[in-house]
Amino acid sequence: MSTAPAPPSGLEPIGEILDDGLGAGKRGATRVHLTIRGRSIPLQRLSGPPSGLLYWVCLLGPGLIASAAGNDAGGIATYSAAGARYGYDLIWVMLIITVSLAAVQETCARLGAATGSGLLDLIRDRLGLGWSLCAVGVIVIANTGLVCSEFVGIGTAAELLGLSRLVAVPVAAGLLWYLVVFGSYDRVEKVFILMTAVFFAYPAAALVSRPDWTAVARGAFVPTLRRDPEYIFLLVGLIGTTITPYMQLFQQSSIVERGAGRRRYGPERTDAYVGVGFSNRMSVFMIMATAATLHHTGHTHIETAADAAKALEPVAGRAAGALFAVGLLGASLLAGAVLPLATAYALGEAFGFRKGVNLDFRRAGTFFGLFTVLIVIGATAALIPGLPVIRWLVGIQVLNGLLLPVILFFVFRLANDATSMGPLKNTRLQNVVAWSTFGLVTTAIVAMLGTQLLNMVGLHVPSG
Amino acid sequence: MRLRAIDTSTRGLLRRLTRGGWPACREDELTDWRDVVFLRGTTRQLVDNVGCRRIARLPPGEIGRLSNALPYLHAAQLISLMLDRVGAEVLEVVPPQRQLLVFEELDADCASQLLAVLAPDTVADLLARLEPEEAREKLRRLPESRRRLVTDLLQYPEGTVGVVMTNDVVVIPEGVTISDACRLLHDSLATPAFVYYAYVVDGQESRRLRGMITLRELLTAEPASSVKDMMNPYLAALTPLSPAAQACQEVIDNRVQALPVVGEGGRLLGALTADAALAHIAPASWRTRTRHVFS
Repeated sequence: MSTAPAPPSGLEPIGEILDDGLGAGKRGATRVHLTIRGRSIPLQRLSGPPSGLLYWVCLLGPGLIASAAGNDAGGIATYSAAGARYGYDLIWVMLIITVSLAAVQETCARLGAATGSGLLDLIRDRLGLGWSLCAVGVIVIANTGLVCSEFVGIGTAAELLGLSRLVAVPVAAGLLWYLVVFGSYDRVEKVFILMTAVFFAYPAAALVSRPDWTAVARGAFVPTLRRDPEYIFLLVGLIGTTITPYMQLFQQSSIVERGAGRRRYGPERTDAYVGVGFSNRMSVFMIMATAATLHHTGHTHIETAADAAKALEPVAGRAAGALFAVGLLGASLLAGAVLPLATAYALGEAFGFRKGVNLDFRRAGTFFGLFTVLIVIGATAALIPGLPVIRWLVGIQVLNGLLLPVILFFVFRLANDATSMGPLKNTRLQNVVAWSTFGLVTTAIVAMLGTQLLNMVGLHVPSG
Repeated sequence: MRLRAIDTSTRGLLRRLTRGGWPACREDELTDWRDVVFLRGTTRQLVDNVGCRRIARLPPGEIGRLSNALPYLHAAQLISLMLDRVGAEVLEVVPPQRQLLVFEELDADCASQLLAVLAPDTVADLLARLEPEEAREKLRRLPESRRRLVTDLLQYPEGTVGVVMTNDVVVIPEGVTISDACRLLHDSLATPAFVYYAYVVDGQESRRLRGMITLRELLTAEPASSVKDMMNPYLAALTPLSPAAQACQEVIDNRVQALPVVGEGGRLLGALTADAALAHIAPASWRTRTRHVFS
């Protein structure tokens, strides 16, 4: 503190600064952010909007990181199972899903930009409390399943590294809980993201194992439909793990948090598309790597994580197991903290109780209570002895796929609501893409339920 | 009417689902959903509805919270239907990110009227985040005296005291008597948000800071005595380019209502008030709550 009239240094007020000094990002600085499955993580603060080469680095760099970090335990299991069981045959599904995912994520970004409200907020506001309850129910069921799958992933990774699941899972659960509640999660999260970088071994493995490129091309561009219940089951699993309901919530709320209104929506649209473009790259490589190694050698049924890790052997040799475990652990820890948080947020949004990590237990008891309960449920599920890991993980992704149409219906219906969307309402082309996505997903689910039902009553559908 | 909560108890949910068939509990404490459901509608419904008038009677903080639950287009419509003064207060309670979204949706006239009543530091914060062209246009439409205050604030870089301080402070020259000072203050007390301290300067033009006198001292002092004798000359001051976080901590640690901010040669530029300081260093989730702790 200085005492006047001692000569302090400072600016003198100037009369007019109409010609310069306004804007130029002086107070609203631009940030480079990393979008992992719709969730936005701020990385670097820039003094102004990036231009030239830097623009592309800021746009594509985070996308590349997210392509590795966006695969959670369930995703890895499903892609590996699909590659091992059916080789390259399911790659075409990934291409179609990428287009659908782009449509869905862009619609959510647009909903966020046009209204400034989160998805569940908007459902409650526009469609009423009854529908809001329905949406929340879906989110809670889907996310609880996923939280369990992340902790199963943590347990499995620990076992691959030679640790007991009974020790690793409770320790990881306690650690995540502590980090989130006591607020240093932001920094630790970067370590988890770094751990998932080992998944870049998949593209290498896919290339080193010399895949049959004609078969890859056929798998990618010629859709093959089989009446095999397992095939349709995995197809729904692929849809469920790629277009997960929580991604829509994240996408919309990250746009709202960044305060991108409808006037600044242009760059956000590019961002959403780039994010989606990258996110499925790694999944395709995972399918290719497992197809070229496991399926090729007749190893079509993956039972354990150690089986799935074999896909990395062409590049990692004996270290494949450890490498796979590090990636799986990073991905599972990353999603294991975020998903319970997202679920607690979703419930907070729908019912209007206080939410936010920067509050404390006394001010946001329900929020942290829910977060704790979800972590406990997840960790307990992962401790069940003798769990058929891969089957369980894929099953949860199928459950997500089953619940997806409900959320898609809300998203697309809201995007057509002129009162809240204003000029950003869905165009005819967007509606065609949107409702075709909805139709395709629903058809796949109906087909799956049909074949499973026939299977259950003992009628076998002839495959081929 | 005061909106306390939306009933999300099991009973309340059943009541909603059965469209009022289920008996309400604690009727006196709860505002029925039917009274606020019009908020989901368009402007025309808002204007026609009695509910709008009911909403306008709520305290600004409550209206702000209600508007936070709406898409920002609707929040802008709601604000444009209110009196300027109420609208401005509501806009101040809205979280910063959303404030910009809501503001951009207001029509040009309504926006200008609001800017004229908002505190200069809020206006500067808003304009600094608008597109430069639009900000310039809005600045041109401000009354001359307000424009000078806002442009002064806009020159400071982020993270400095200049960004957090208010420059709409009460100033009296040192050479006058208490009764003259009271007469002078009669006009100048109307607009500033911070009125607890009057800063004593050597002259209206040079504005070199000499001391400070509280409103209480001014009103209770002998009318014939001179301001120079009554004022508190030992005044700690801040500089506008020093780091904001540190300065805010100083204001709070010193337990004063505000510390003056002075430029070269001791010229008074503004004051860093305790509520602005608290709002600046408090966690983001508290900011909207602490804005009006003191003033």
